[in-house]
Amino acid sequence: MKKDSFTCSKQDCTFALTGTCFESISDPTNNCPNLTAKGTASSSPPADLIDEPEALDESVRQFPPGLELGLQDIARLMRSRYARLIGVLGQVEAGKTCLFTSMYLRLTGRHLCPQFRFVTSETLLGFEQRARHLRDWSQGGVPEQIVDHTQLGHSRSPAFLHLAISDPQGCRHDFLLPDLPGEWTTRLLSEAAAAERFAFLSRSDAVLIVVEGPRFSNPRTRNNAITDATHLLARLANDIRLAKSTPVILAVTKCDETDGKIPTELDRVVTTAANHGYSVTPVALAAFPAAPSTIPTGYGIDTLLELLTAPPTGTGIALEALVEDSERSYLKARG
Amino acid sequence: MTTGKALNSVVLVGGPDAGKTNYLGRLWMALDAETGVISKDGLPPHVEYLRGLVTSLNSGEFAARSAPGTFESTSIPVQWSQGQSSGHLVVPDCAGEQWEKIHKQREWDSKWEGAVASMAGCILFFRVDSAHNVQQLDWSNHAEVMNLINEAREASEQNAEIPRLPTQVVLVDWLQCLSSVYRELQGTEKPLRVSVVLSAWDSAQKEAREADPDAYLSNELPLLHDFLSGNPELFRSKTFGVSITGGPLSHDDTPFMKKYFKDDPNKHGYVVLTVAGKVEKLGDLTLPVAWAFGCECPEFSQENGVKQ
Repeated sequence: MKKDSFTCSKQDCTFALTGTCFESISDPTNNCPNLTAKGTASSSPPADLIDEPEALDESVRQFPPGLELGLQDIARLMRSRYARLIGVLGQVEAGKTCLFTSMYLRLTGRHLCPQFRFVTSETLLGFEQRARHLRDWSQGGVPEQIVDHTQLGHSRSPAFLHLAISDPQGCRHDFLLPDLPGEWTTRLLSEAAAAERFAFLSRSDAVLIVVEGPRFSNPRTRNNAITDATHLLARLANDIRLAKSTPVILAVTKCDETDGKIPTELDRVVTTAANHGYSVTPVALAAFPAAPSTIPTGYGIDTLLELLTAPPTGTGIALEALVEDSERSYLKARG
Repeated sequence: MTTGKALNSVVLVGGPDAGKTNYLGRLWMALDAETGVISKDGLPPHVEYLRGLVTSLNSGEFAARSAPGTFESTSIPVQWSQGQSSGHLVVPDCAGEQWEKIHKQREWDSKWEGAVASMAGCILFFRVDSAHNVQQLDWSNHAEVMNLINEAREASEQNAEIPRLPTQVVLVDWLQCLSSVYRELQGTEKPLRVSVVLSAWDSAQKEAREADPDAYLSNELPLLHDFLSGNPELFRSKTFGVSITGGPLSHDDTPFMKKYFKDDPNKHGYVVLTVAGKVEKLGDLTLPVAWAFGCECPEFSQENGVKQ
């Protein structure tokens, strides 16, 4: 059956149009209890047969889960204030989540004062859960697309984290950080077609490429690491077509294992980026060092925030365009 | 003082054991005595709940913690500015467990919707010595972090209750929920007035007790402090150190208890706040409500920008 042969009882679900289940249920035509084939009776009982009528009145207000923001959520946010979209690429175990949580914890613990202060986050609970390693990707496989909305009880979905901070001048900076499975980046390396998922990067104010420092210094992993990083830059330039004016930051993680230094092998990556026309800044990071007496916890986060709060070089594009682009991508991908 | 009496409720926010109910009892005592910034304007039509709370305090006992399902909406006729203004103060009191439920289940019912529709401000409670408080973890301590992560993971795997989030994270979450609904239901761009009440202030460390309570908030709950101060378009907050009795109530025949019974209980207890840059200890227990209510009075003249 075609997707437009169904209707969903969830008000915001656009399954009939996009084929995307609002609750990210796999194979929704068979598994989603809210979906009804047009022309058939609803599976829900009539209201007068519900045992506890007062239960309908029990909850009149639902609050966002505060875990992640979907595309529609960030559209709403950006209608009310300017926020910088930071593209983030990195393979599994590169340290993307640790980087986000370290940034959040350094700010909320006032370890970056007086330079930077926490202002707010619409994904406060998402940061807290990630810090406790309680927000893992579903065991059922890697999710395929960024969600429109996120809901309580759902497993981790490709979506955005939000963090607002203030700089020494008291200026507020809102960041939207995509939290995507590392497999997406790996797939991008292998298949140009995967670039479509990253369409939103063309609207980003900066792109972080998260790489593991020790992989560049270890002779056994060095060549693969360099190859992956340079191929990723080629994908950015040729397949995602990231604007050359977009600042690219090489976030070199786990640098507690490289004495806090950026391995010299990364020079080749920087040169490759320059050849593609990008301005690249490498930053040495150590989110949670094993021996914090040598390299402090959250090493390099302040430098990273300095780069991210620098005056934007982008065009400050309205997010509606981003959402429309993404929706177009979904529709195209789903036929 | 404000005169828009359609907005007459002050919502008490706080988890279990934060001090909401006992403050309400002591507040009624202060309103009844008619010596504070706000005073009663006649007896409320229904006073049973308040009488029960005051009876406990007069007997030298704190009121028992509210039962989990409690939701008592108390309406008190009040006046201020020497009787030139009057209105009704509606204070819904509920068990802290209800706030925890809102945080976990991400929803609330029509009672809350009604309270926020007429909300002038709120009072956020944090009891400085409560066993329910969850401290923020020191994330620079690797061993401590690994312990927490392992504990959380094990609990998750065994479907057991995972370690609770730090209290200040939950407090910020509540304020985010309240603020969004307040702005939506009232269609206002005005910041929400928040009185942060640090209850059981008499049990705080001596150094902290003598300093500005806002400094305590900043040191102990930095996330909450930065959230409130970093969002002036959303919140207008003031921090109060509050002791409703001035000391610990006990069954022992202590000198404090002897004095407590000898004196009028309304003369016990105090509020610590900064007035014009100076830390003051005042006996007016209505001040946190006055701030949340939007009252103009000498104690708030600087913050409200009113010349006295």
